[in-house]
Amino acid sequence: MVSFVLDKALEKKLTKPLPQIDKGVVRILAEIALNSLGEEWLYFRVVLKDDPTMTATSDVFGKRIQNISTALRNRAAQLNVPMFASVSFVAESELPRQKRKIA
Amino acid sequence: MTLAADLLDQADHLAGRERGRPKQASLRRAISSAYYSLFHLIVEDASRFLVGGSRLLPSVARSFDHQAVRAAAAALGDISRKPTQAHWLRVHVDAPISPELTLVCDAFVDLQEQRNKADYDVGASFTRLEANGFVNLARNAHSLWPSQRGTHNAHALILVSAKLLRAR
Repeated sequence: MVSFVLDKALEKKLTKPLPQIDKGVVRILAEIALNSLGEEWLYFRVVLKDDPTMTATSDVFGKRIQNISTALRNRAAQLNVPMFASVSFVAESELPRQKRKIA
Repeated sequence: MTLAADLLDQADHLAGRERGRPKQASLRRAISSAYYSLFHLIVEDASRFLVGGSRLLPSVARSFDHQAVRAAAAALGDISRKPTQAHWLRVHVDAPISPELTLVCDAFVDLQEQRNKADYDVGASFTRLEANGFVNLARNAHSLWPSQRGTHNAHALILVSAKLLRAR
């Protein structure tokens, strides 16, 4: 298996803020890890400001995560990251304190 | 209500259970149900596309393999995002692949991986927001699929999923 290295320069480009997409994004984390099938995947973890509208039934939240996910996958493709980009979301209050700094 | 719609509602319900500190079991089942809702949505339409209203429909639906649907969805997502990259499937699809179908394909791939984690990885832990995010991913895919299922590229997705269209 060819291993893809996520160097600091690339990581910085992948995790830069998305000001045009969503002002509620506090920070974006990116790492390469193996998925359940043993393939290398790019995992984006998007830290969002705490917001009571972030529920499964909320159309507003649904649209936000759709836009953010698409933007991040397109960014990874433009930077020639060869694997699938998985996107998940976490609230700022759910992160350990040291990771809460603004990107 | 179809099975796919019921599963999506169930995922929604489970992701919102236990105000305050949700049980991991509820969040895991929410993610798993979200994935299965999308799987059944696609497979039901795929089966109808292949055999119409025939009594073969349940057997055809049962024959769809999770990994094959995932591989087909991943291929369309790749082709959509990397328009210059060589791929055997490219000659069979209309360019460009719509953003809506791309989102459905990406959602399927992502949700299947999360479902594997939620159902089998006992070391994994999920937050409510994560579970909500995946339920919403499935909800978005449900809302976009009806406008895509009759398109040429959706038919390509179905045929590759059914292993009737493959690299030669």
